[in-house]
Amino acid sequence: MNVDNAKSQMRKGMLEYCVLLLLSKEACYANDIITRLKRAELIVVEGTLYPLLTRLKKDGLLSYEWRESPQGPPRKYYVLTPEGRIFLDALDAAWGELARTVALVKGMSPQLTFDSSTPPIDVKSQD
Amino acid sequence: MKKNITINLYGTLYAIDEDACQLLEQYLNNMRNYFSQRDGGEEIADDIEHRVAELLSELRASGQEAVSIDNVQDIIRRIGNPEQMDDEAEAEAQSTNQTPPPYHDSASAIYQSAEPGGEKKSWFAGRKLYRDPQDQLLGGVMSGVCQYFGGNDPLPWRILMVILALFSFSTIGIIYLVAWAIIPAARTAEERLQMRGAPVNAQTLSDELMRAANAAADAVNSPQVQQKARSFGGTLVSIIVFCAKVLAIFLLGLGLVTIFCVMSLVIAGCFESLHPEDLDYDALGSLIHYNSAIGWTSMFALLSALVAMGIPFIVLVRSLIKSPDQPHSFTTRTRATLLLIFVLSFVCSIVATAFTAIEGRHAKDVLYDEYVKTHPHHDDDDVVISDGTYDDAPIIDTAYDANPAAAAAAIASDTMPKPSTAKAVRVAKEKAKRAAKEAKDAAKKAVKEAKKQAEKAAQAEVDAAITSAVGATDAEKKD
Repeated sequence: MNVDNAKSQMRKGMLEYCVLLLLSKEACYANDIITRLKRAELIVVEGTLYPLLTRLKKDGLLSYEWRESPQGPPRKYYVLTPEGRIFLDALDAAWGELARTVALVKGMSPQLTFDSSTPPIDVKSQD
Repeated sequence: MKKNITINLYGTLYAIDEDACQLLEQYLNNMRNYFSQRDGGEEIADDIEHRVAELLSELRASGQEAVSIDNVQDIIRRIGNPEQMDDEAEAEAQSTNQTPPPYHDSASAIYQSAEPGGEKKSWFAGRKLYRDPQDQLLGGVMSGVCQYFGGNDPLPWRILMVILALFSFSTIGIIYLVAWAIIPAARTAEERLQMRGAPVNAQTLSDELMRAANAAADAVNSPQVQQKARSFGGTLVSIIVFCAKVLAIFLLGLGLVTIFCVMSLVIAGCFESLHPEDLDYDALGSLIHYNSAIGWTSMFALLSALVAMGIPFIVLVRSLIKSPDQPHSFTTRTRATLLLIFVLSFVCSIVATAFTAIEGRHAKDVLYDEYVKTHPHHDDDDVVISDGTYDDAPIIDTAYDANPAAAAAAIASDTMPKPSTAKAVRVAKEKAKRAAKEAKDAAKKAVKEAKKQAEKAAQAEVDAAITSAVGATDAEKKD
């Protein structure tokens, strides 16, 4: 179904942002992230996370440390680096812009004219 | 009951069933190979293995002692296969069916075994000959051969095999057993791909693995389970049933073809322009010409025989080519209806055949009598007189020899004993004709002779008269 396709495309875009959001609050390991993202219905297949985490780590946005676990093998705990934090702030701003764009487009659809009540937005400056 | 082995993942031991371990191993290797061509791919593979270990620990913590193949399939489904994990464009670019790019040493081990080792059978369009244990009736030999030659459906091969076996007695059976022993079974994903001639790279391997995992989850069809489920007796019975079905189909097919031929003869006989005198008395056409009811009943008999043979034929063929996703070929209602039709047509065919035979016999007798009465002479007949080799002809022969005229008269007036075959009658008629002719000729000859004699006598008389007349005149002159 095309809707599912579009949805999964949208989710893919949001995935990175959400992962960084989660890690900004506390250090998590893969299982934690997966559980929370699943609860938010953001990922279906766990495997999508691992390449993403590795890429973020390669880009220097995340780092990890090993901690022993009471049962099972040792776990990788990911934590946000300072560069990651800056990146996250930028993503926050980007997300706000996107949301506003969508709202505007939605709100503007019945009438296509500006009037003095709506604040003038320069659409071209948004990337 | 399954064998259980212990595996070691990052220092922790897990008890896992043998088949589950095999599947898991394949999955992890596949994962490793897929990501090894990426930068940082080893780490991803490690992460995934860690995840697997965690999930296994959770399982154990929840009280389950041994990891079963269902658990492994669940894990595989949760973590997913590499295509679902692609978050980079390079994943798309690399998952094409090109020759696999060079791998790290640790990852290329599996591919080294895929290089043509040369110890298998000959290459044929890039395929290797394997047996297919996932689609086996006996040993999967036919299935493997079929895939080797590019076919999709092993059924025609199997039918061919059974027919050959029936006609060559044990030779084909021995060949089959030898093939079963020699040809290896395609057990790993890589071998299955080679069997079908598909290119072997990371993409297709993982596809194949996923397909195998899902297939095993849907039906209890994994090779090990199927092998253990088949006892020797069960296999034997299924083979015998299969052979019997093929034989029955073969015979029924022959019967149907025969019926069609006879039907066409009947129809031809009805429409032929009939000169009853040109035909043998047993010709169906002349019978039908005489009594059209015979035509109807014989057609009816043939049609119902057709149905009676056709129904089991169709049922058997359907049962053989039934696809696995059709649970039953017929509902109970359909089966009851078919059975009813079959019994009815069987009875009808027998009754109609009997009726046709009785009616036909009667018609034949009537026609025969008519023929004999209305055709005493036959100038068109092209008959070669035999030298008395017919069984009935001797009666007429001896009569002819003794007294040709009387024999001819007797035949013409119908007092001679009738021969039972039409040819003997014709022979008799011809002989009578000849006799008459000869008599005529003899008579003619006699008449001619008599005439000649009469002429001669008359001539002599005339001569004598002249002589005496001349003598008398001479005597008168002397006086």
